[in-house]
Amino acid sequence: MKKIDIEFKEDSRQQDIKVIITAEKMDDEVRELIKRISDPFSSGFSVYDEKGAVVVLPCDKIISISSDKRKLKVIADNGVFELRSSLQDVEKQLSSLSFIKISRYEIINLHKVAKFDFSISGSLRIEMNNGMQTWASRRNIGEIKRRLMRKDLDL
Amino acid sequence: MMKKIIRYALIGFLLGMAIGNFIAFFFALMSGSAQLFSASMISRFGSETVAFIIHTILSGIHGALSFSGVIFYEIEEWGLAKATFMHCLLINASFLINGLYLEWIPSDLSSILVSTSIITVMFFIIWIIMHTRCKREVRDLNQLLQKEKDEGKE
Repeated sequence: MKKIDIEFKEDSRQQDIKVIITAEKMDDEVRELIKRISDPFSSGFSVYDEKGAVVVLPCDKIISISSDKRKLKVIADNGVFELRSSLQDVEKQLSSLSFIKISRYEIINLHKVAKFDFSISGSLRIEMNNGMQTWASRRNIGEIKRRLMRKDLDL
Repeated sequence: MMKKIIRYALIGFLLGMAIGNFIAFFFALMSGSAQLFSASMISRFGSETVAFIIHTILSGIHGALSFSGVIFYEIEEWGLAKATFMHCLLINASFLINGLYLEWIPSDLSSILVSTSIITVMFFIIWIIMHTRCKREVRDLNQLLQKEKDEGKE
């Protein structure tokens, strides 16, 4: 595996971000790097399925990630998985994507939300595309709105 | 959380002292009385000075309890209804205890019921306003969600 040197050049004339990759030749490593930069959802997590086998789960398949004792439970389109990491670390990795932390114990994918509802008890009920329901504090409403208004949410 | 409660309690204590004394001055002014407090209260505490000190401290305590109750709305696991109810309960309890001791309200049952009802109705109105505002914001969320999905399909 080749070493990657990252250089940042400030240019006030540059409105958008331009990434130039310099390498000896176009090979699989370079193609993979280009893919990861151009498509944020190509990244994923190594998770364990119910049989204990390691699976790479792309982020765009994840519905929610929640704390389950000392592990993380990952609910995805194609099943339920286990992730051995902390919610804090996962939150950092997902911060630039469409994921949002809705409580101390759960992160959801805004891509996978079917609708929001505000219950009579005053909590935010979130219904996901797969029919799953979860709850969040009404204090998250502002942050969810900000995320949905972001142009780069790419729904 | 504890630092916040202490901060709110301190702010509430100062506000309580100020408002409690302002109200006492206001009613004394309206009644044309030269004394801030009733004769029974002054005789109970021995002097107007002592009555003023106790009144100020207890007003401050009532303010501290009332303001620190704002923390209920920041408890993640509590919905708006529970937070509002608990805050209402706290203020009602504090007001009744202090109010009866400091003669803010007469000690008969109807006066107690009236003051409790007024506070409860105020909280109910506050709850309706906050609930309605949240419902509107959630409606906006759904509209944004639908808009983004429609744009994604195009």
